[in-house]
Amino acid sequence: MPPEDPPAKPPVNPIDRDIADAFAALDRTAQDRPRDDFSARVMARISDGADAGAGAGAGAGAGAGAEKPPRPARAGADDSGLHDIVALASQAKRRLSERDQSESDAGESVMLAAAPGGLRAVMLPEAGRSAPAPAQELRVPREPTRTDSRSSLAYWLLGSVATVAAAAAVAVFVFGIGRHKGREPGRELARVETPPTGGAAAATGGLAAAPAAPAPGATAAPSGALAEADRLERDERAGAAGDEGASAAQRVRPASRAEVRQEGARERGAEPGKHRRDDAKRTIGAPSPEAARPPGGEAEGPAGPAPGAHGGADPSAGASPGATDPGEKPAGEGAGKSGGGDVNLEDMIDSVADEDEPAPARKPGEQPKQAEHVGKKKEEPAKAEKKELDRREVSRALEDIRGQVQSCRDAEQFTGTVTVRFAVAPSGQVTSAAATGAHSRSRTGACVARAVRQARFPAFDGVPISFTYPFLLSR
Amino acid sequence: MSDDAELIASALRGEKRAFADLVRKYQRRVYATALHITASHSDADDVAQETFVKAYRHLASFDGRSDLFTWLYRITVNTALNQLRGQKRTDRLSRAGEEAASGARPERGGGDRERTPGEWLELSERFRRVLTEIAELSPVLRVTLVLATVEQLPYKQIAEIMEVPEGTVAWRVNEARKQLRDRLKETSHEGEESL
Repeated sequence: MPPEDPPAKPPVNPIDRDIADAFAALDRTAQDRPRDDFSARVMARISDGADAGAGAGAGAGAGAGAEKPPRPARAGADDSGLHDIVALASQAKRRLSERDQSESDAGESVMLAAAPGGLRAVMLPEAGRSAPAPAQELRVPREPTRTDSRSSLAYWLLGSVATVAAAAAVAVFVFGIGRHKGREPGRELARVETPPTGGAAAATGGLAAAPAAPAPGATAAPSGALAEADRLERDERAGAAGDEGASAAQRVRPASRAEVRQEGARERGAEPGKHRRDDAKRTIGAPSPEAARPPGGEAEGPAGPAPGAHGGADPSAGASPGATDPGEKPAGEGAGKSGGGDVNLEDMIDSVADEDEPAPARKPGEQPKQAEHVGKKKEEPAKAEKKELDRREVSRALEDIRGQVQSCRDAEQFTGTVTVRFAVAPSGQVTSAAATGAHSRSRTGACVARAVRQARFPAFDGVPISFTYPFLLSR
Repeated sequence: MSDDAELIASALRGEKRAFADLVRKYQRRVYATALHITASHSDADDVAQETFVKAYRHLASFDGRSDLFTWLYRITVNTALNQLRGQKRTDRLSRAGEEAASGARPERGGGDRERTPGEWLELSERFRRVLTEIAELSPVLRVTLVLATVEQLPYKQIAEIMEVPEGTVAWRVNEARKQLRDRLKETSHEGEESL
């Protein structure tokens, strides 16, 4: 059937002539394209179930059946199916968050991730990360994901293991008390020197034993040495796990086991973690005489690299404060009680869960590497400061290339605005930059884009960020 | 028109062959309009198909007061506008450039046979620039300009298609011309500089 072409009138406006010529050229490309099957394709779509019935969308009285949903096939159109994908993703995300809240079944999460909706939810990028960001727009905080739920599960498991280990330690201690009742202090110390056995030490990755050699300048072991050594052992476990030493308060040494128990009872509910943290700072480097010698004047404990020796850079220097300063609490209390025991458990869990600081299973005589751990601890805040890129940093980085951009202006004798879209990797390096808009192909645009590639941003955490930045080139 | 009315009535009675006749009658014009707006054959094919499917679905709402093609125009324009709005601008630009460049090639048996390859190259580049800059216009300005300058529809009909006052159509056409002229001057200036 011949087409009903509109009557061609000569364009009056010169720009209209250019337009008409260009579109005439475009029309010529259409002439070669076979469209014989066009009506067949249209009718096939119409005959399809979704489009059955002329006037189906016009409501009642149209002479054809009820309105049916449009086919979700065409990208970019109203009924393109994009909404369906977004809706599916939203549903999957909602289900995901509900499951995260309940933290119920790990198996379910695997199934959900394998389900089509879950897969979409996983694959769809989050808003503000992959979408083209407006100029200087920064990342939005990430929502909790399934990884967080897994992390919680890991914490829970580790907590359970640590609790069992602590209970085992209490049992070992009570058994040891019963066996060593009435023995002389010197023999008690000998028992302490024996590496602990059983699940407690293994599970906590704790120390094997207190070293036997006395510390330089150390006096005879007191009667409370057993309790102290046991507590040292526990402190060492927690300290090794959390990079913390014995607290200064815990260095106050009871004179006897009874005193130890009384002191321990008094101190229940105290928070040794804080003190240990304070003390950990002191343990870096050589121990001070005050720390090595508690107020009681009695040196205790084993010498050499003691279980609690966190910072002794020089093994020959003798016992570190942690090694020579027993705590006030009798052994087993820390793990068995709710106050300090909780803290110890948390410390142990932290130590196991923290990838950067695994709890070392040291052998007797092995030099602890506490100073390195503390060093790592001190580096962490600096790293955390660079979580995100803020506007000032972006502006500063772009300000640094102002000279190069101005040279583009001078070289091309151009004044105006050149908009450049660029991406910055977490390392701070510009991974791509290209002028957009009217200057996407101009030499000025290319020059400014080259300048932007030279920009260096501070490193940040996360995924690469895209920016669109207008550079005003003016005299 | 009377033919159209009969075909429409038949289609509404369920005779698909009647609607197929309507499709064959208007397919080239609908396709051409879609091509002018989208500057892409694949997009134009999609838009044209979608136009006829929508027309079939809403055929009962066509009251016959206006020309059927004006009604089809409206559906085509709206569908193409949706298509344009859903696309990235860079995609539109690249497609427009490709199509224009291929359209400027020598026509077999046409009157342009005397042009030299250099002239064809220059012509191709000019068409590419024009179509690319038209693609840079906002979808509404672009469609209005195409309807006025390429389809050469009167402002009244354009106003009816786009459901805006005639004055708005006139303003859009002038604004589109002005923007296009400025952009072409700018790119022409840059092109001369780069030589």
